[in-house]
Amino acid sequence: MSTSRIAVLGLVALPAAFFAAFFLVPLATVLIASIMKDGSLTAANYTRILFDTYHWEVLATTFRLGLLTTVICILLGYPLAWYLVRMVRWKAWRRICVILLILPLFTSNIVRSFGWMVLLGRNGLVNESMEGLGLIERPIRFLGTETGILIGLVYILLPFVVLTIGNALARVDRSVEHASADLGASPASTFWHVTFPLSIPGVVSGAIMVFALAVSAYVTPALLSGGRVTVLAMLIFQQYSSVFDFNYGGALAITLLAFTLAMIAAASLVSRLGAR
Amino acid sequence: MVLLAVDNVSKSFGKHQALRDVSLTIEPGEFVSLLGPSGCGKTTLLRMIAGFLQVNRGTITIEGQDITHLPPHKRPLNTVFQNYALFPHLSVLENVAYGPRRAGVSKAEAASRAREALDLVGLSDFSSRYPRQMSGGQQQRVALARAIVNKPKLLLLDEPLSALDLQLRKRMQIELKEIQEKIGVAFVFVTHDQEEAMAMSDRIAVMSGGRIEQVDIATNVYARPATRFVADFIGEASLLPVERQTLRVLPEGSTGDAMAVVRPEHVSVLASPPAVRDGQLTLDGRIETIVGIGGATTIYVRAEGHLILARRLGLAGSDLSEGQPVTVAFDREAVHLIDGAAS
Amino acid sequence: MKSLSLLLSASVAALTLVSSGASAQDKNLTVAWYGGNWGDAFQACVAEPFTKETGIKVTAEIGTSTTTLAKLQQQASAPTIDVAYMDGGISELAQEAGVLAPIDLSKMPNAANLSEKAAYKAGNDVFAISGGYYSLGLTYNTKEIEEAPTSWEALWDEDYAGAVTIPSPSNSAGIPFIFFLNKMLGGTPADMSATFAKLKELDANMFFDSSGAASNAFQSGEVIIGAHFNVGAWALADAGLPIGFTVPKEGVWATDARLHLVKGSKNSEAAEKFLNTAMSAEAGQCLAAKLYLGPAVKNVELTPEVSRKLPWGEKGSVDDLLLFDWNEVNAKRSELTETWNREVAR
Repeated sequence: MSTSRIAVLGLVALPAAFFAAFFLVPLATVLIASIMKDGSLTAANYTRILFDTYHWEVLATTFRLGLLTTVICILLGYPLAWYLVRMVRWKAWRRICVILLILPLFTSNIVRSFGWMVLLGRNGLVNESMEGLGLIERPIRFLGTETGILIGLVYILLPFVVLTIGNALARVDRSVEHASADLGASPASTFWHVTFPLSIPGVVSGAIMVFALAVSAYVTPALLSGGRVTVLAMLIFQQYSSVFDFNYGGALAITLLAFTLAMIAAASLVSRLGAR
Repeated sequence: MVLLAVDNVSKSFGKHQALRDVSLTIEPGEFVSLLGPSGCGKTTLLRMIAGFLQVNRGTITIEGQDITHLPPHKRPLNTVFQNYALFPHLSVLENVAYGPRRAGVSKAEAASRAREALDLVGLSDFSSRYPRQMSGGQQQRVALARAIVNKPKLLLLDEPLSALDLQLRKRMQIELKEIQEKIGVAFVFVTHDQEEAMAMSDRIAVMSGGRIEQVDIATNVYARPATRFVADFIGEASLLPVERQTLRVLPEGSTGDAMAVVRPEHVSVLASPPAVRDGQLTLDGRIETIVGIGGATTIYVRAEGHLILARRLGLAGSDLSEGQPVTVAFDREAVHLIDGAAS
Repeated sequence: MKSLSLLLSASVAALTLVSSGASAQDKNLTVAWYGGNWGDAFQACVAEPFTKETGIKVTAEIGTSTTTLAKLQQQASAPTIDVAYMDGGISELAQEAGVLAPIDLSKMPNAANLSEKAAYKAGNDVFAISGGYYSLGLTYNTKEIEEAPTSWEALWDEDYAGAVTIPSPSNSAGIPFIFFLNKMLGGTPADMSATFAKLKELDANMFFDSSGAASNAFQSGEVIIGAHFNVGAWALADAGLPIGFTVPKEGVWATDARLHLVKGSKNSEAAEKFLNTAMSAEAGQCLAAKLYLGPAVKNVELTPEVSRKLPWGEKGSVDDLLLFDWNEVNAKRSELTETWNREVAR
């Protein structure tokens, strides 16, 4: 009996301990550091951030990139998901497509970002072929611009959207689409009035995931910006890795978290109001 | 004028032949059931009429217009789906107004038509609810309202009552029939439940193995089955090989030139001394089992190797017991002959 | 329930196994060093001779200097690392953090070889010894630039606009390089505004965070001139790429990889022996040949081919290196990073 009680206790305590160890403690450490300076409690780290237009500019860049990444990922990801779920008839081909989609997730972000550096560089494939086609005379600068970062982020985060939307599309009951057609709706009309609304949960969860990952991304912006465009994650990394100001860095991290959560909350509020 | 004509339609899925040269016509306002065991092709036929499945061979016309290759949204008919297929993201009113809206009717007019349809199925108070907030029976009515709101000439119903419990199903059968008569729409009703088909239909098309075995009014399907399958599938019957001329019953295993179908309610079981009326056919046998289900008792008698069913109203009575030698008797008029003796 | 308790006892057993495995390492020394070819070189040039001599095995703990410092701070009460390699700059921070043990050079016979400035002192105690110098010199693509540039001013040459790289403040060389430029341009530590104005004019392709990113940019031809470490630049050249490294007339800034004893180490005796091995002429020669690290010990014999690739260039010596006081650099790190962020990185 006592072993089973211990087991039950373990069943409750282990996940709680796991959660505490891997989520609460690190977050609390950052939070506490962010309200400390020289050993005393202070809001100085936050006022330093919030009363400085520089930080607002960095925040704006970060969230502009996050939003654009999200929008482009959805615009590209929806048709891809549709193709995978609805058009591919041959099961083996679908499996290959899904593997191709997921495979990059198993390789390092760094490797994939370096790949884009090669493609987007001055002498990269993109510029070379555009020059070859006579479209441009001088190479276009992608690296070190927001466009370059955007391309990298979209490429890295696209699979998440395809998977969440694909999952939502696969769960749409085909009989309601039949019902729509039966009631006189053309295929396009059925898509807009039935399929798309029913896939919105997948779109929203994919969008939230991509947005959160995009605004917190470090490796891709750091590599593709070449240090010429600054996003908040790069500022945070800088404070932690070379300046060693964990208080200011912590405050930056909490600021990013707070703004991200606020954006997501606002988005879900809007989508819920829109659904009514 | 014929409303729907299905003419020599065939369909196969790979090697499986789902429908073989099926033909069927439906008159305006008629209630026709497609009845058969699962896998008989009834749902396939319905889906081809609705346009969700392509026809391999043959034609389907509505009021003379060939719709064989029209996409579903261009066909002048509506469907009540087996699982109702209500739009989960739309309210009841929006669900029902969906058809008129797609037909280009204004929002206000569509809502008013939807209310009218909901009224007809007794759900006027539920228009702002969502499907998930409703019981199975209510969802079923919404599906019906949604399907009739555009006033189609033909309504297809794919086992619409199969998910309901017995009580509700009986009530819905009556209601559905009433609504059908009120709006005067022809119904093609798919079911595997013969009692349901009997209770509601003007005509029943009995299907088996991708073929229509018989299309007739309910009483004829029961009393005058066209094939051995129909005789066996509809109600209970004793199937006995006979000589066509004399109606003499041949022993089990032999082949006569006809098959006699005798319904159990026409069979008397007589304890000795036999009281056989003139002109009755008789067989001597022994009672194998007596099964009472309250209102009626079924007596299984083994005679000439055949198992013959007899039914009596009420309890079996003390005069009969299992193992007892008896004589079974039935009128010549009660015998329905079908062609081909064996199987 | 039964299966659950089975699972629990199994995991307890597994944990016991792991911890007993950890305590079973007797003759073992844990040394923290960097990844990649640096770690491989330390393994071959220091750890292997050390094991051969003493029979003590070396376990490598791979990480950047910053990561190692973070580990040392976390493990302050019960360190698992005995010897730590950390770069100049981080070395001073570690000393300040109080995670280092003083090094008694009198116990190490090879210390006699060590050049004087290669022993770093806080007060009277040595807290770090140099394991070899490397510099941030002018690196260029020999295909695009045929003759080695003689001045850092070449970075501002119009011909190379958009194809230049220098380290960002996130790189350990970033802030010192600003100091270096400031000195070159005649600024004072108090007023670096002219230097930042000059940096702002630089049409850079990228500011690199990691030396790998710089190597990559040179390799792909994305960058044709810039500041890069002699170690990385010569590695590219040795791989057959058209890359040259030069020490311009203004000199080069340099730093070193340093060895430290960890405070509270249970293997301090073995750790001292490890440092002694690291100070041998053979180790210096080996590291110079493998990484082109400039030896911190005297009497190291080198081939001319290795010699010309050392941090001080073909004709120089250790005395030509500009080694800043890292405490001074660290004191300005936060301020200069912020100025950089606002002035340059946008």
